[in-house]
Formats: sequence, structure tokens, C-alpha cells
Amino acid sequence: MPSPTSWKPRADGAPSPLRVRGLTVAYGAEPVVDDVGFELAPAQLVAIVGPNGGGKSTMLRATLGLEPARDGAEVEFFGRPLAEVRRRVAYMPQREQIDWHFPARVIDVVLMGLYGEIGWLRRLRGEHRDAARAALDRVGMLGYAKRQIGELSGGEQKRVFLARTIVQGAELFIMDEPFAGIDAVSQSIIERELEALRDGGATVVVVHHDLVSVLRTFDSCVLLNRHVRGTGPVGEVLTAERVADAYGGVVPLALVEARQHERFHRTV
Amino acid sequence: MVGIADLWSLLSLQDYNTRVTLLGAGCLGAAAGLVGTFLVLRRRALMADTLGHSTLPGIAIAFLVLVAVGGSPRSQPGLMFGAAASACLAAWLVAAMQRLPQVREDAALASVLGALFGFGLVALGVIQQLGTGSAAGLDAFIEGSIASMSAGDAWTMAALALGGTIVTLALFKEFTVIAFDRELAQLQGLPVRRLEFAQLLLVVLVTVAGLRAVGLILIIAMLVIPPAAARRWSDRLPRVAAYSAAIGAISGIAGAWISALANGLPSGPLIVLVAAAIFGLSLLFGSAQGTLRGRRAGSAPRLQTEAR
Repeated sequence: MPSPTSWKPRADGAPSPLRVRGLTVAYGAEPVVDDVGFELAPAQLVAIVGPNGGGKSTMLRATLGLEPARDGAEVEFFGRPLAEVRRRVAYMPQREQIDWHFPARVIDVVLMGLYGEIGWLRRLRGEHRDAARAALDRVGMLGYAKRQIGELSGGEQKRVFLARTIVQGAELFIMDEPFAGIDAVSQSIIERELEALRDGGATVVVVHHDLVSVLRTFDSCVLLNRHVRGTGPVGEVLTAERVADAYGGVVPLALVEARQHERFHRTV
Repeated sequence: MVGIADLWSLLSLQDYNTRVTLLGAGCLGAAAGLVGTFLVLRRRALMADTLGHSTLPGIAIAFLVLVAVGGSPRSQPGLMFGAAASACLAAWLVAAMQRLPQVREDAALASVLGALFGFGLVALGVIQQLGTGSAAGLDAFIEGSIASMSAGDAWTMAALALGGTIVTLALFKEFTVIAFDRELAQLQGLPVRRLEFAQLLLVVLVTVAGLRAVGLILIIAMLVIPPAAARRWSDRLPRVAAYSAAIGAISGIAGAWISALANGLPSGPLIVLVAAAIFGLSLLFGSAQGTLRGRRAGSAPRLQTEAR
């Protein structure tokens, strides 16, 4: 169940895992992401929700420097610029960006997540392979370690990339649609692992389309359609009015039902 | 024609010059196979074609400059420098054109190839009209001529190829991430652009090293065919790269050897034909996933995967 948490920086002064201010991304005249700002609390499962084309992926990618942000944006990870804290941040891309015919096995893909810490001119060692195998085990893919990556189903590919992200041992995980196009088994495994990361103290930010799943699993969310339409605990942000505002007047029926269900259970 | 005694001396590699030339061709093939592996994975094969063709104006201008300053117009280092310079100019032109709106990479590559190769052909025509006598030697750069190589030329080729091989092996891990997931490399803090530039320079190095043996038109084949053939045999990049280097080396040695035996046949096409034959065999007999044999072997586990 979502635990309502304070959206303010914590009293102990620990810097926010991700703080964004004045972030604008524009390819033409019209910005895709316009003056976006928010601040994440540590150890939370955070969903980025909003309609298609609302700039969710673009916004997250821009914080990582993968899309060009306009001048004047302030993005801080743990109170510092990304370049100083790369090891503490891990990113999981969408599967469309990957060449699945690439000559790599499942274990090789996970090992690539460690290349940054292995360093120049150094070889993989046994401890790296152990770490990669442990990460694959967590997502239930250890038995597939020696398969070519193109042999896997969509959900299995997602889980391998989740393992590659987990193995980096980061404190902030940014994931672009880890739940898109996968079956129920992969969905529940990924949800379980995201919760495990959060319970281990990490912050996990996920672009997510399924509002019902967000209500059920996530702690807080950022509702985004070009501008930020709401941030905070999911129960407060995903109200019919706010969702309708963000989605151009339409509230997905599933969300209404889920909320009614929730209310029903609360009154019983 | 070759006499029996000559044929025997060629077959048994008694001639020092032949031995060194074959060694050079083998090193070149290995380097091309290795560098080409990453080029193909990054889908930049056509860049090699543009760089190859674009060496011609550099060679021609270097030739003219050498004649003008009274040097030997056949000076290998001078001509190689000219070739490398104009290949780098081509790479820069492609990058500059791509920054223009609505110019796609393939159009930029083809335009630069056409313009620079055309310019090179005109310059070659001018050189022939000048009648300085030794212009004929320039043909060797177009289709490759092992026969015209001295032992010194072959050693140069081997050294350049070895240098390219060492650099590629040293950066293997970084080149792998860039090829598979450029953004991961970027987020890991790797200097992605500089590494990509290094790969470009490696292609130029292989192209320039291979000018005399393979020639500027067919050098792309030595960068592309060995990795394509090697991919049929393994799903693991380190093995694909090793097989590709081996296929390149075998093609280089065998092609150069046939060229030496068949006095006068250009070595570039022969080397490439050997590589193409190996590619054909790999298509038929390769054992990686998705190949004829691999598909049969891999069909059972695949079904199992989907059933889970």
C-alpha cells in the first residue's frame, strides 16, 4: 500500500536523489517538456505518469544528459552534478533502442553494466561474473545466462536489462517503461525487484502507463503532460480531477474502478 | 608465365620478399577483420567505403607534390600520408554535412565518396597527361598489387596493421559497450565521441595500410566480409572478433599467395574473393543462432523459452 510520505527534503539534510528545476526540452518551437521541476524523496518507488507524448521519457532522459535540455535547467543527483556521482545512478533503457542480433549472451549484457567500474585496460574478473550471476538470479534469469539475447521474449529481455541495472549497485535507478509489453510473470518479478531495491534504501523512478499498477505498487508519482500536473503520494496525485487535467479530460475507466475498489475496502 | 623452378620457389616460399609480403597481407587481413567487427556492429560499413575511395585525391596530390619538389613520386610514406589526409578530410566532410538539416548519413557518405573519388580520377588523368613516366604505379593503389611491393613496403603494412590490432584489443571493452549501447557508455562516463573518433582513425589506418595490397576500392570488403562471416560461427563478440581476424588473415595470405603464383593478377580482388568464399561456406555451415545449422540446433530451447 502506498505510504504517504513528505514531499519536502528530509529534515536530516540528506540531499534529494534527484532534484530538477526549470527543465525544458524542445526540438522545434514547441517544448516537449516545459519548465519541469520536482524533488524526489529517498527510498521511494516513484512513477512518472502522463499521456503518450507527454514528455515522460524525454524528461527523464534529459536529466541524464541523453536529450538536450535548454540552458538554465538545474538537475542535481544527491546534491551534485551527474558527472560526479555516475556510480550512484543507473539507467534502464527501452528495449527498442537495442540491437537484439548483437553477438552477446545474457551474461555478457549484464557484465556490461560493470564495465564503468572495471576501468580502462582491465579485464573481467571472477567477482564480476559472480555479481552478474547474482543479479540474473534475482530476476529469475540465471538459467538463461548463456543464451543469445535475441532468443528471449520481451519480458525476459526486460528482466535481463533490469539485472544489468541492478548489478551497478546504484542508489537511484531510472527506468524507462520497464513494464511495457511484458507478460504477467515478468511484471510481478520486476515489481518485486523494484520493491526490494526500494526497501534496500534506493530510489526507483519508473516511466509507467498503468495507473492501476501505480496506485497499487508505487509510493509517489509525478504527473506530467509537458508541465508537471502534480507530484506527491500516489493517492493524492492520482485523483480523477488531476488525471483528467493531465490526460486532456479523459480519465481511464480502470483508474476510476481501482479507486472505487480502494474506497470500498477502506469503508468496510 | 612462371617457370617450374619459379613456381616451386613461390609455393615453398623460398623467396624472402614473398614471405614478407604474405606476412604483411596476413597482418593486414587480421587488423581489418578486427577493426571491421566493430564497424559492422555499429552499422558504419559505408563509412569505410567512403574513406577508401576518398584516399584517391590525397594520393594523386601527394604524387604531384612529390614530383614538384623533386622527390621520388613512388615514395610510400608520402603517398600514404596524402591518402590518410584526404580520408580524414572525407570523414570531416561527412560529419559537417550531417549537421545540416535534412541531410541523412547515407546521402552524406555517398556525396562525399562521389565528389572526392571523382576529383581523384580527374587528378589521376592530369598526372597521366603530364607523362612523368611513373604514373602507372598509381594503379597499384586502386586495385592492389602485391607484386609491386618491396619487403620494406610489406614491413610497413605489417607494422601499421599490428598497431591497429593492439589499439583495438586495448579498447575492446569500451568499443563493445559503444557498439551495443552507446548511452550506457555515455552514462558510465566514457568519452564516447573520442572513442568513436579513435575507431574512425583505425579504419583510416587499415585503409591506408591496405592500399598497396588490397587497393582503395575493395578495402571495404576486407573490413566487412570477415566479420559478417565470423558472425555465423558465434554469438559471443570476443569469439566473433577472433574468428573475423583469423578469416581476414587467411584471406590476406591466400589471396596474396595466389596473386604471386598467377603472375600479374591484381591481389586486391583475389584477397577479397577468398574472403567471399569463406563467407559463402560460413553461410552454409555456420553454427551460431539463426544460421541454417544453428536454427535446427536452437529450435528446441526456443520453444521451451516461450512455454515458460
